[in-house]
Amino acid sequence: MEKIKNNKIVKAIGFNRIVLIGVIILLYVLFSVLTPVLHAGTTFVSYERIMSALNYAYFIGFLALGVTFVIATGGIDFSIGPVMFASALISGYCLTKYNVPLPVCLLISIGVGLLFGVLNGYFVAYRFLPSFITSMASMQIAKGIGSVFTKTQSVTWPASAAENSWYRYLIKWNNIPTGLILLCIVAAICAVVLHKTRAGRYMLCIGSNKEAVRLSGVNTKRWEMLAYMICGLLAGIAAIFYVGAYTTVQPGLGDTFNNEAIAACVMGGTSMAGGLASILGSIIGAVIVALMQEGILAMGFTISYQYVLTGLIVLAAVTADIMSRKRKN
Amino acid sequence: MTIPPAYQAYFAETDADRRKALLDEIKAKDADDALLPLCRALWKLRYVDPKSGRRVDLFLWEILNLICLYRTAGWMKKSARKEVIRALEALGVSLAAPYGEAGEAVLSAELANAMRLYLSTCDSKSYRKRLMGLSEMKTGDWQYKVAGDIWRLSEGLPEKLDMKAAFALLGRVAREEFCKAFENGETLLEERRHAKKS
Repeated sequence: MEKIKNNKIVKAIGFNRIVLIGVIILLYVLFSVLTPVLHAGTTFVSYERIMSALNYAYFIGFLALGVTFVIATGGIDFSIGPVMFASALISGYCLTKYNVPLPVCLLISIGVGLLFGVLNGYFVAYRFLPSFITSMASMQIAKGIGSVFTKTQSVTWPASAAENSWYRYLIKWNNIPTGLILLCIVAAICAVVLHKTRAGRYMLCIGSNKEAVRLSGVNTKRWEMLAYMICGLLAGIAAIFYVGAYTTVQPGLGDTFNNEAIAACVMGGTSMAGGLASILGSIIGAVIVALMQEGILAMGFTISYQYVLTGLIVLAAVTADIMSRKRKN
Repeated sequence: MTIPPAYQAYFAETDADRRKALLDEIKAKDADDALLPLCRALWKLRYVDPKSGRRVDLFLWEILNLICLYRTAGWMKKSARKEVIRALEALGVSLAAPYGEAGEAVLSAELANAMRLYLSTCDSKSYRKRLMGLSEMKTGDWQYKVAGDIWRLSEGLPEKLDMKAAFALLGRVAREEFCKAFENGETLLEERRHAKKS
């Protein structure tokens, strides 16, 4: 094991990430074998299944990327799922009821997400409210606003071949998974921002030792708020990818995706204690979550099993994270 | 070389303004003191932002920055090495070099001062928090976390980037100050070393 860990390639990629990629392969093999056994007449090995899993991975991936920034600062954002839904509902309602041009609606979606990011960031960084409480409150606000704006009606974005349906090319264009390309581009930008810019270093250091950052003369409030703004912005983008994949959005939902995005982050190596974050890990984590969702449905189980499994993963990942920081003796 | 008694109070103090006043006192007593120009230059380097001129603590920042760098310097080690060289510059290494042994002693005392300040911030609520601030670390876990920071700065990062010589002074000072602050410092560092190897 030590030899493997010290291998140059393993060191460069990271042992944990290699384990996670192994988990993806293992899950794929497991579902491929179990699906025909448990759900006769169904197969897991198909292009459609992969595309379906990717559709799920896109928006979970964007949510996970966003929440990675917040967790890196030592905070948490439990509002990302409902914010994503509120963004999709409000912008979709503008598109279908008020005939607002599609590009403007896409910007509205991002803008709504950003606004929630500003709200969360302001209360956490400038009003010193615990991120846990703040994001719980904004989760309720997001759910409520989405419902009120659409008069508790679900919103259906234009389906393929309909007018204004070009936004779906963001997901898939001529059988090319454009969503995956865009997710990778955004992830690369996030990785550069987090690991190679001063802003990212401030965020990581805030998560590591906020008092020292403050004493060294850095405006911790500004950078902490920025983390929540990035998270909100990416929740707004996730909304576009959600409707691109599923078109219909229902008010009052979305909170189940919080856990999945947080699970993806923690699985990927981002520490709940702050100061340690992995963008690549979050993306791999999102793919695992999506693959599990697809596998569970393919095997004939209901989505409720997915919730149980995600909950267990969060528990296991957070416990592992805490245990790794505990003194052994 | 040891620090002259006149400077003991200066290096014991961690508040920037009081330190400035102490330097002024030393100057009033003996304006030709050989170490005074270096101390003043280090004070300016540490506490004055070269761009905006506002009061900062760049030594404290660089210590934290280097601890963080251990985690982000996975691949692209070349750029991490460049960052370390820049950080060591910001910590006054080249400023103290022309003063020889006396310069090293002064720089060592200045770094120890910054390190003490860093260790004092580790006792803050934000540092001890666990799980989004829902609970606080137990003393043992907290000490282990601080030891982790010191290990990364004094051994982890130098080994990772193969820059042991460049880190010699900073690493030594970090270990010494940690062991002064924590009775079981050596044991904690040994545990960290062992945890990393196993």
